[in-house]
Amino acid sequence: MATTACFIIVSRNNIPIYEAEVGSAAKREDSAQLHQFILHASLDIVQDLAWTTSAMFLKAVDRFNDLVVSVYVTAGHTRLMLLHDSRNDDGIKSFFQEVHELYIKYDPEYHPSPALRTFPLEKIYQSMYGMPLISYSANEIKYFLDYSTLSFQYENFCDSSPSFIIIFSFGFLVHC
Amino acid sequence: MEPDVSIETSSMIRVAVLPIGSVPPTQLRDYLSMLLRHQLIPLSAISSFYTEHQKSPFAHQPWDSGSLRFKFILGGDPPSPWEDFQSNRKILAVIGICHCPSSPDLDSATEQFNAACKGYTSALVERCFAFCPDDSQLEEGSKKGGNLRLFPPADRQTQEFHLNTMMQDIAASLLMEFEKWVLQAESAGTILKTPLDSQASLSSEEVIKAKKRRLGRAQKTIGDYCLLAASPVDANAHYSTAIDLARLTGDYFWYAGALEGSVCALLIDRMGQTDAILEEEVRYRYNSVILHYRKSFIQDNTQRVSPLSFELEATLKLARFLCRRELAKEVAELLTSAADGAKSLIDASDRLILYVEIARLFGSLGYQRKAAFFSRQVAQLYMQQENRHAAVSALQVLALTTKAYRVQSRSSETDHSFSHNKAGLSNSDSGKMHHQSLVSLFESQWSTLQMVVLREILLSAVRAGDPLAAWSAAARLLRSYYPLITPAGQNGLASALSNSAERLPSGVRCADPALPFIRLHSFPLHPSQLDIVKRNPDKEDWWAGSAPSGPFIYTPFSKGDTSNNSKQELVWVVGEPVQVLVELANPCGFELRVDSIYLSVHSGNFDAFPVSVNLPPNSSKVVTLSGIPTSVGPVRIPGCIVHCFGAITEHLFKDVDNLLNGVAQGLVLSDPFRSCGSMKLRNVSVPNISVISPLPLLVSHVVGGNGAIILYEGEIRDIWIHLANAGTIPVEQAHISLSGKHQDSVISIAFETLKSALPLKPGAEVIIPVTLKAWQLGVLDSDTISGKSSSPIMLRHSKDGSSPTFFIHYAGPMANTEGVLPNGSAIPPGRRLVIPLQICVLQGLSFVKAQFLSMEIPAHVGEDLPKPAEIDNNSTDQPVETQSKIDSLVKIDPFRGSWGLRFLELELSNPTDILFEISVSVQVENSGREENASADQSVTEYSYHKTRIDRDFSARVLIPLEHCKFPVLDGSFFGKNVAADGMANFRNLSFSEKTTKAELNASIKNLTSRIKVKWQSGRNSFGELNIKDAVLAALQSSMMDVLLPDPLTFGFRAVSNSSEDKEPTQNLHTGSSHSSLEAHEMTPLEVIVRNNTKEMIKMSLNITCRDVAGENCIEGPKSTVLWNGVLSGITLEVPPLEETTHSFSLYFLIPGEYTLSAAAIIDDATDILRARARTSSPDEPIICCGPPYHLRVNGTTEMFSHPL
Repeated sequence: MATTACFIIVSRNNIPIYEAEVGSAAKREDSAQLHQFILHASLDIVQDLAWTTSAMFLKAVDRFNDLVVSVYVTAGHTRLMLLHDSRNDDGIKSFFQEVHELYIKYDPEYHPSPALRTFPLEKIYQSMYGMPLISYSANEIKYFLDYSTLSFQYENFCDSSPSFIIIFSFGFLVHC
Repeated sequence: MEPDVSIETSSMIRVAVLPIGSVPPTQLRDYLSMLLRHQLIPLSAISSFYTEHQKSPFAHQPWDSGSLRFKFILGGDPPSPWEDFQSNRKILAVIGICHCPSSPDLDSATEQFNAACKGYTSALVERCFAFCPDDSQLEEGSKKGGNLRLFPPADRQTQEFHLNTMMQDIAASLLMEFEKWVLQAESAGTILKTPLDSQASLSSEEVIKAKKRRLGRAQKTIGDYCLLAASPVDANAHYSTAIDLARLTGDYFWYAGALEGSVCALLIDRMGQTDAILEEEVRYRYNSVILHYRKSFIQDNTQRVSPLSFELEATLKLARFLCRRELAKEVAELLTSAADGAKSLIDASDRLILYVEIARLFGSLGYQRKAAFFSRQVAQLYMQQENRHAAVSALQVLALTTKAYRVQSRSSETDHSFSHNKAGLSNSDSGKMHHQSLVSLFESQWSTLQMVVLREILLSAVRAGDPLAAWSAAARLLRSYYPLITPAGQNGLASALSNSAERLPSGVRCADPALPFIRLHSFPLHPSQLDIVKRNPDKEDWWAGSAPSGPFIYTPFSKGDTSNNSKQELVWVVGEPVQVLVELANPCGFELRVDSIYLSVHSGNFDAFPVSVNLPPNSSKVVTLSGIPTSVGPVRIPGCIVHCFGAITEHLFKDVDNLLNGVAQGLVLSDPFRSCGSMKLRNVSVPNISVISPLPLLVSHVVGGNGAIILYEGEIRDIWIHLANAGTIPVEQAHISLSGKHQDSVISIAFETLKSALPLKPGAEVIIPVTLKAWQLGVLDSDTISGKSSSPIMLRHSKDGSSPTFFIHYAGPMANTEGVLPNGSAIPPGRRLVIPLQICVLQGLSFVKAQFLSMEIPAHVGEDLPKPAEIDNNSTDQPVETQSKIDSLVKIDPFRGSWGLRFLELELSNPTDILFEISVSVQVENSGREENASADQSVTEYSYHKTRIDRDFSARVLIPLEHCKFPVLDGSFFGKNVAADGMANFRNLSFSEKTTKAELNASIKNLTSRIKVKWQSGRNSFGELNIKDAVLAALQSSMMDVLLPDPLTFGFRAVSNSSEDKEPTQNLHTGSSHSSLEAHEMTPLEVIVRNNTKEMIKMSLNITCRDVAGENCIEGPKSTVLWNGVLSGITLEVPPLEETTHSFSLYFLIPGEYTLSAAAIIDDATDILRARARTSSPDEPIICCGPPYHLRVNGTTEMFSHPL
C-alpha cells in the first residue's frame, strides 16, 4: 500500500489542472513540494516516451530516490501522473483507467476549467484504496463530504454546471 | 567524484596551474586563456623538443596524427587516493604563473613556486612562467635558468607563440618522463594500491592475492601511461593483458578500470569517428565496466570506502558518450540510475558533483525540466553548506533553473525570448502554437514550484549577500504569487525588499517590477479649451467637416470610423502639459508607499513629472501622471517608472494587460484590480501619440467670474467674455459660432471686436461683449423650480446643457516653418475653444391670469357731442402731456358717446425673493382708422405709473385698451368668430375667409404687440414679460367687444332752449362741459342714433329716463318727469354709417340726477347683427341698448318757493 503519493493531472498545455497530495505519510510541506518537483521534471521524459508507445499507461517512467512516477496519457495528451513509492502496476493501471473514465466526463475541452477543479478524484481514490483521505492540496475546492449517503456536495464554482452532483461509489455521476 | 568526466578523461594529462606571487585577477584570466588554447598538442609539433634517450616503450605511437591532451586545473588539486588506480588523476605537471610587475623579486617567486611544487609529488615537469618582466628582471632571469621561463613583454601574438613553444617543450618533457616511467614500471614493478586494498593487506592471504594481482595492475597502469602519451595501440595491448590478468585474479575493480581504459583507447584510436558498431561496442563494454564496479562494491561491502563513485562516473561517462536526442530514453535511464546512487554517496561534495553532472547531461539532452530539477538539488546541497561562497553558487545554479520553471528575471528576457521560441517550436505536443504562447505569458501554473524556487533564490541571495538578486526574487514572488501568500508572508517579503534596498546603492534599477500593479486607465481627452481641429485651407470655414463637430464626445455616426482605425490617434502639443491616468493596485496586506511614479517614455521627447502615492492595503487608486512633450515626433508610453521599496523598476502596461487576459481565461488566480474593489475596465490600448509643434492657445473666462450667470426669465443682460492667448503663437484666425440649446437667448455677439483684435499676439487679451436674454422656463423646468428650489438645483440645471455654448475656432499662421505634422500636411491644425455659458434662468414674475374688464362711465348730456375727428386730433396732439395722459386715453367713445373704459387686468405674482417693478406701456398706432388713413404712421407710446411687486406678493396691473375699435361693423370681421364660437349658421357668408382671418389676426396681433410689460429689479436686472399669449387668451372671448363697435350707438344732446338763440350748431362748440339743465322748464333734447353698419337699419326706439333710485320717472304712478314728443315705439330708419336724430322734450319736476338711456329693437336684423348680438335663435329680437347718459337737473330756489 502506498504510504506517500501525489496525484496530478497535467493538461496538454503542461498546466497542472488538478493536484492532490494523498497518502498515509504525515504531510510535510517540503516533501509535498518535492513531489511536485519530481512530477514536473518527469514531464520531460513523458513527453518523449508518449510517442514511442501506443499504450496509454506508461508504468514507472521516472523515479527519484524511492518515489516512482507512473503516467497515463490520454488521447488528448492529458497526463494523469501518480507519484508513489510502491510498485503495484496493476492497481495503478486500473486506478488510472477509472480516473480516465471520470475525466472524460469532466473533459475540460467541453467544460470550463472550473468544473474540473471540482473533479471528485478523492472519491475514486478512496474507493480504490479503501482508506480515508488525509489531505488534498486543491485548496480552491471545498468539499462537504457526507459519508452516510455516499454523496457529496460541493460549492459551485461554475455557473454552467449543475449545483449538485451526487457521486455513487460505483463512479456513476448523476446530475441533479 | 570528479566533475566533467568523459570517456576521454583517461587520456588527459592533468596539469596544475598555480598563480605565483600576487597576480591580478584580470591578468590571471588573460594568461589562463592563453594557456587553455594548448589543451591539445600534436605529437608532430613536439618532435623537435623530443630526444629519444632509449628505445621508446610506446612502439606504436602515431607521431603524425596523435596528440597529447592536457587538462589544466587552476589552483591545483589535493592528491587523490585513487591516483594509482587511474594515472590520469595524478598531477603530472605544475605550471606556475607569475606576473612580474606585481612580484618584482624573481628569487622569491622561484622560491614560492618550488614550495608550491612540493605538494605535487607526482609532478614530472615543473615550469614557472613569468610574464611581463622588466629589463632588469630579464637580465636576472636569463642568468638563472632552472624552471623559470620569462615572457618578455610583447604583443599578444608573440606571447602566444612563445607560450606555444613552452607548452611543446613541456609536452616533450612529459612524453620523455612517461617513457622513463613505463620502462621503470615494466622492469621494477611498483606496488599499486587503492583505498579498497588498504585493509586487506592485513591478512596474509590477501597479501599473496595482491602479489598475484600486481602484474595485472601494473599492466593497467602502463596502459594508462600509454594513453596519456597518446599511443592508444600500445595502451590497448597493455589493457588487454591487464584485463586477462585481472579476470584471472578476480580483481574486478581493476578489471573494470582496465576495461574502461581500453574503451578510451578504442575511441582515441578512432579519433572521434563514431559509428553504430563502435557505439554498440562502447555501450557493451561500459555496461560491463559498470557491472564490474558494482561487483567490486558488493564484494567489499564492509569497507568504508566504496568504488561507488567509479560506478557512477562510468555511468556518467557512458551517458555523456551516448548523449543524443535519439538515445534520450537510454541516457535518461542511465542518468536516473546514476541519480539513484546519490543517496549511497557518503561525501556531500560527491553528491553535488553527481547532480551537477546529471543536470548538465539532462540539459544537453533537451530535458530542461529534468535539468532544472537536478540543478535545484545541487542548489539545496550548496545551501546545506551554509557559507557565503556556497550560497553564491546556489544562487547561480538556481538562476539557471528559472527558465524551466518560468520564473526568470526580466533581465534575462532578451535571450530568453529567443530560446523560448526555439523550445516552443521543438515542442511536439503543442497542437496550437498560439495557445502555447498565450499560456506561456502567464507562466504555467506550477505555482507551488515557482514559489519554492523563488523563495530559495531569495534565501540564497540573502545569504550570498546579493541584494539586487534578493530584491528581484522577492519582487517576482510578491508580484506573481501574492494571492497564495499569507499577509504575514507578504509583510515578510516587503521587509525583505526594504532590507535588500538598504544594501543597494540608491537609484539602482531592477529589471523585475514589484508592486503596485499599474494599468492604463485613460487618456483624458483634451479639456474643451484645447481641442485640436484639422484645418482645411481651401475653405473659409476651415474647421468645418473635421471632428469634433458636436457637443457629444460620442456620436453614433462616427462610430464606424473609429472602429476602422485600430488605434486611436492622439495629438499632443509641444510645451503644453498633458495628463495620463493610470490605476495602481496594491492587493497586498501592507501599506505600500510608492516614492515616485512617472511615465516611462522611451522616445525621449517627453518630460514626465513624478508623483508619490500611498496605497493602503488592498486598495487601488487612479493617479494622474503628467508631463510635457518637449519636441515634435511620436511618443511611446510603454509603462511607468516606479521607485518603490528602494529600487527603480519599469512597469509595463502590457504585462498587466496580459495578466488581466489571463484572468479572463481563468489561467491566472486573481485579478489584482478586482480584488482591490476596482471596477472592471475595458482594455485601454496606448494610442498612437504624436507631438506637434506649438499652437496658439486661447483661454477664456467670463468677466465677473466663471460661475453661473443667474438671470430671471426674460431678463436681458450684457456679459463680457475675456479671451487671452496663453500660447506662444499668435492667433491669426478666429471665428465664433453658437451651439447647444437656447441659441436665441444670445441676442448679440460683438464679432467685430474679436476680428479687430486679430492677430492676437501671445499674451494679448480681448474682451468680447455679449448680450443675453433669458429664455422662458418650460413646464418641466418650472416644475423642478416650483418645489422650493434652492440654488444647487439651479446650478445643476444649468449644467444640463440647456445653456448655449460658444465655439471659437482659431488658428495660428498658415505656414509653419518648423516641425513635420503627423498627417504630412504643411498646415498646422487649428483649435477650438469651447466656452459653455452657464446660464441659470430663475423663475421671475409669474403670470397668473389676464382678465378683460369693461367699465362704463355715463356721459353727461350736454350741448356738445364730441366728434371722432376731434378726439383723434386731441389724442395725437397731446401725446407728451404727462399731466393728462390718462385723460387723453380715456375719452368719450365717439361712437358710443359714453366713457367706455376697457382694461386688461394682468395678475402677476412674484414668487422670488426680490422686488420687481412693473411698468406698462402701450403704443398707440394711429394708422388703424379708415377715416384717418392719410394720417401719419407715428406710434405713440403711453407709459403708466410703475407697479411694485414685493416678494411673495401678487399684484394686478391694469392696462387700458383704447382706440382699438373698428369704425364699421362689417361682416368681414366674423370669420374668426365663426370658428371661435362654433356657430354653424354663418357658414354661408359670402366673404373670403382667408383675407378676413388674416385681417383679424393682424389686428389682434397689432393690439397685443402694442402692450409691453417691462420689469426692473434692482439696478441691473431689466427684462420684459412675455404676455402676448396671455393677452390673447384673455381677449379671445371678448375680442369682439374690444374690437367691434356696436351696430348702433346712441347719444343725447340738449338742444338750446333759448328761443332767441336758435342756432344749435353754434352751441355745439360753445357749450363747454356738462351744462346742467334747469327744472321746471321744458328742455328740448335730441337722441342721436348712429348706424355703424353698412346696411340700413330699421328699428323701434325707446327712450327712458330714470332717477337716481333707478325708478322710471316717465311712466308709472310717481312719474316726476313730464314729456313732450314720442318716447317709445319710435320707428326710425338709419341709413348705413349715418346718424339720425329724434327730438323730444322733457319737463323735470324735481331737480336732481337723472339718467337717460335709449334702446332699440332692430327689425329685420341681418345675419351680421345677429352674430354681433350672439343670438341663439333667428326669432329672437335684437335689442340694442345705448349707454346711460347722465343728466343733472338744477332746481332753482324759486322753484322750491313756488307755491304748489
